[in-house]
Amino acid sequence: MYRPLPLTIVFTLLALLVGWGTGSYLTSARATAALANLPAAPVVLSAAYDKQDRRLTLTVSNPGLVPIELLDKTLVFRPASGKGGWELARAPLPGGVVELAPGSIEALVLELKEGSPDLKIGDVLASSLTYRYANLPDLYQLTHLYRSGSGSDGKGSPAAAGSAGGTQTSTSAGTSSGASTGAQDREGSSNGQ
Amino acid sequence: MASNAAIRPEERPQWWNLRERIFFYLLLFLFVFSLSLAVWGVVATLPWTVYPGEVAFLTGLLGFSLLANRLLFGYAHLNAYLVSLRERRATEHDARVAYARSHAVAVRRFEELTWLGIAVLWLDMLERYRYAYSAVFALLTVIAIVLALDPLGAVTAGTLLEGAFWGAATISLFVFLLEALARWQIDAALEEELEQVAAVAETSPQPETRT
Repeated sequence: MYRPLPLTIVFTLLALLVGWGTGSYLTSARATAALANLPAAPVVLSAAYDKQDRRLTLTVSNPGLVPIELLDKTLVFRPASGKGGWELARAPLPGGVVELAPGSIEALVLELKEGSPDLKIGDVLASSLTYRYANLPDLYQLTHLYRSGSGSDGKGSPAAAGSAGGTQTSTSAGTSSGASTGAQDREGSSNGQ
Repeated sequence: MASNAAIRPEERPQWWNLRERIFFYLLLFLFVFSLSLAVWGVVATLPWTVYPGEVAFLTGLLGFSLLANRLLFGYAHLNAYLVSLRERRATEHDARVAYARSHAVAVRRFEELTWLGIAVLWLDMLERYRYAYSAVFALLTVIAIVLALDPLGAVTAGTLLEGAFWGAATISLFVFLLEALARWQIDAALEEELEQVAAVAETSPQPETRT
């Protein structure tokens, strides 16, 4: 059989094109399906409390596709035993507004108020971050619950819960006990007040 | 003619032979079966993850291989016939089968046709199916491109149609390759035929007077 060289060249190129297109399509179909599971909101990956300096370090990631600006923080402290109730401190972030680029991870250092008591086991530190998107007028809020002295930090998977209103509150329990602990703590706070 | 009395089954005019028909209905069953699986949501219960884009790709692949079935088999058999003609090992039986498959019986009797002429008629018979196939494929291409232009189309049905398009493109590649190969072989055989005619004309020149 004789070999038609031009046909071989043309159809090799066409086959490369089709294979390239098919492969990139199937890959992007998987990638977009994986991206669809990521929230377009900051996610707290881990939280660590430094006892000596009395500061809480949050590792915040932006898994979404739009940049996020972190504006300020609110720290709420509740002791494990009943006395005292909640203490609240709202302040701008130490380094000013933090830009969270898509896919980036930032470490935020949140210092406790002057004169606040040391964290005991069972104390809950609720740190809220206010953030906004560049193209949206609203402010959103993320609340991270840190329970002192319950093993290693940051092992629990961050669970983001969003509401459709003007304020999106994303709550995650930083301890390994999971999100149910956070719900109990919130109930306890209303009783305490 | 005496040959009319002894027509073998493979020499009868037919669209497909038995093997091709079995293959076609297997493919049809696979297509309908997999589509109904997708519709019933069985795909979601499979132990491995199947993405909608992959289902769309398989749908395009299976659907267009159904549509291209006759073309793929037709061009493949035509190419094999042309190769056997070129290598001068084609028998009269091969030519009679080609005559039956090309539906050249509607044009001339077998004895009045050259064996290469049967191949040309065969290519011509397949032309209408290739045209219909190309039209459907072009329509799918246009719709996929138009939906890809829409920024919201990428979120909804646009990407899924693109998957069907890539599946169809994989089949179309083989269809157009086999068709181009058949055309190429027929062109080369006709050229060879012309050269032989010219050579015969040179060896026995006939004086003709033309005004």
